[in-house]
Amino acid sequence: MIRKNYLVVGLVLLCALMVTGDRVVAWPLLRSLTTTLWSWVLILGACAILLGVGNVLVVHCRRVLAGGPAWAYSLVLVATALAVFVMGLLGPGGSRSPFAEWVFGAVLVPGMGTLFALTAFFLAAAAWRFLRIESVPADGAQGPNRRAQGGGWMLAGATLFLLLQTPMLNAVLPAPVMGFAGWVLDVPAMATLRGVLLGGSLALVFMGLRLALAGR
Amino acid sequence: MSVILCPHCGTTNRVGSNFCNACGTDLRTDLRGDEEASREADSQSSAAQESAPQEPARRTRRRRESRGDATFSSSASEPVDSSGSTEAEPSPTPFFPQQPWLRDEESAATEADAGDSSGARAATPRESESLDNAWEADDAYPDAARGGFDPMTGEYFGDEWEEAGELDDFPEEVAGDPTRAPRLVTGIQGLLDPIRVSRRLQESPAGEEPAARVQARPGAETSDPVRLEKLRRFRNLLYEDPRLPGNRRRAAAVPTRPALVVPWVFLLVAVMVGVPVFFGWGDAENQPPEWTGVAEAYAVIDSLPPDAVVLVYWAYDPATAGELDLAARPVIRHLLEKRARLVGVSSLPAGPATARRVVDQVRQTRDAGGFFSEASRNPWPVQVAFLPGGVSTLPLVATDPATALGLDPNEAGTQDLLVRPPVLSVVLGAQTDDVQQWLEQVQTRLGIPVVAVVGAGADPLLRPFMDSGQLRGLVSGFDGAYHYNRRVGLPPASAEARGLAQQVNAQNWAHGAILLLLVLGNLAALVGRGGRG
Repeated sequence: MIRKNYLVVGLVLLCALMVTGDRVVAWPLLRSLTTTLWSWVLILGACAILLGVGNVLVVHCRRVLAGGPAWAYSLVLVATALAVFVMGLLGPGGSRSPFAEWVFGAVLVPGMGTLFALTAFFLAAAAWRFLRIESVPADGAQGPNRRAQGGGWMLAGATLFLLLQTPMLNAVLPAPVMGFAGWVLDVPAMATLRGVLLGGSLALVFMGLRLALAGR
Repeated sequence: MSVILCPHCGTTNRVGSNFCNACGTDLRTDLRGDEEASREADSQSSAAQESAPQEPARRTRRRRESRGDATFSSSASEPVDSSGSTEAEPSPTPFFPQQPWLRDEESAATEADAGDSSGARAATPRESESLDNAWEADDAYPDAARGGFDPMTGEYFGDEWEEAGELDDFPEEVAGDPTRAPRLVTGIQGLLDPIRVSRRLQESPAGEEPAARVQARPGAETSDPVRLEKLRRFRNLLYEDPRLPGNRRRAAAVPTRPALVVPWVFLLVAVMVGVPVFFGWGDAENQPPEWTGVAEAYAVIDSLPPDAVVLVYWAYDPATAGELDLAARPVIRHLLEKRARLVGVSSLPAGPATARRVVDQVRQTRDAGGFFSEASRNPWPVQVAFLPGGVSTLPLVATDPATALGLDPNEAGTQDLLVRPPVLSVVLGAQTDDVQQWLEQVQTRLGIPVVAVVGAGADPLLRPFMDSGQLRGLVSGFDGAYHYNRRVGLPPASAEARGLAQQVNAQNWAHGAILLLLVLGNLAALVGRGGRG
């Protein structure tokens, strides 16, 4: 199977070498080549977006025509998409036409803002259910394996930083507590996060090697 | 046990499944009418199963038949009945009536003669029995059905059976197709089976010499067991999916109610946040803590010369604008007051519109004292272009700004932009990745200071970049916005200042609500009620 992919793997490796080389060597020709590659990615990305929009429209048009479940919502989606698309094409302001701006400001922003506002409620529900000294496993297992380890640490960390970030308590808490929180952020938390970043980078390198050498 | 077949891909699914385990096709619409037939098939299959012997070969043969393996069916000269005998019987019912591509001509002709009905259907008693055996085989070798490499024991599980010639007892998805590799996790909708592009170094079954397999590999010193082990482990590192030691599949308990729907918790939060905000309760003199990074960000922007070009990466859209607008507005206002010339890109389709909205809000803010007039007097238009392609195209901002920023080099205004290099870049992003990608792809090429304005959740992960000097300033979440506004010198009587005070108040009560929930939840757990609902 891998023989069939020699061309693809070779191209991927060539592009990777060019981009990596451009980061290391200041060679104008290489810079020009990599800039061309990125320009191609730009075009590919734009085409992918058009393809995605077309796919969404086809799926929802089929649902409307077939009278599938929630077809009315599909109809609204298709109608809005087409209206914005047509206004963007034909309107004098292009993508900044008044109708497109209205859809953005009066529909998209409040809708997404509403979803974002739900975060507080989900956080509260999660605090009630899962931040326990003896936490419940995420899979809801019962019996002897019910207790998950580490719940107390999670609870302590969350409580500490909730207390610190509560404006009302910020001025009341003694300086050593604030100092301890700063130490937690600067030493153990930062060390852990550096480890996460390094681990993620190494994983990325191995994923690249695996893709290039093993083909999977 | 009876099963239903997916009308799209032919995968067997348990009765009652709403969607196909393999392709996600909705099974409810087509199968409601067949529930009775399915129940009947279930009862008959149970009776037949008791009398049927369990030889693997016969079981596999029936399973292949039941799965509609057209090649097998057409080549089988001795049809096997449910009792295992090889006597002749009427032509078997084709298994995939809606999938003609799975049938050979003979089967198609047989089906046409039999006048088969169309649509997804429940399995016939014979098919159902065969599939029951298939389920049993999967249950008997759960690890084999999953396959993989156990890093603790250094052994493969799953492939030993294949090597030992017991391939017939494996699920068809793994054993029947040599190009399809066993998967770490099975049964998740929408996952495609991985393609095996090359054979990996095989682990020997017990009693077999491992070197015999490796000798086929040119250049490998197969006589050295240490070298073999190193080679095997290195190849495993490249080939195998990561797998946690001791990770065994455990059936998840079915929750009795949706996991995060706790009405009284929602009501408590709504009351504790909504009432003080709407009725103006609470002391607005409190302030959140100021973390490092805000003062540094203010100092960097405040030291900008007039008309400096500032590169902005607008990496948030209305989905997170509720938090990010708060943090972005004071920074953008400060930049406009310094007569900075803002040009930017966004990898989000709604990013440019979000940028225009925030800049318009800043420019249109007025007050009696004229505090905000400087920002509105900034003569430069703010240009933010959409950059499709995600992180892959970010380096273009540094190497070919005209293309990335969508600038027309023939215009007089943009020529000035192309000649004058930016002196500062500001990243407005909801996620850590947004800032990290900018630092990796653009900052390393431009070498100019970077100030990040991010959501509070991204703050801890960006502290190392602040500590290393890659970030010159960090304004995160509401706390950062509050202190940046204080540094700018927001007039206390302005609407912006009143809004900030109101948000401080809401934050007090929201944190109080969550702390209360933490205490109540743990008390409920301690007294034994569980507090799970």
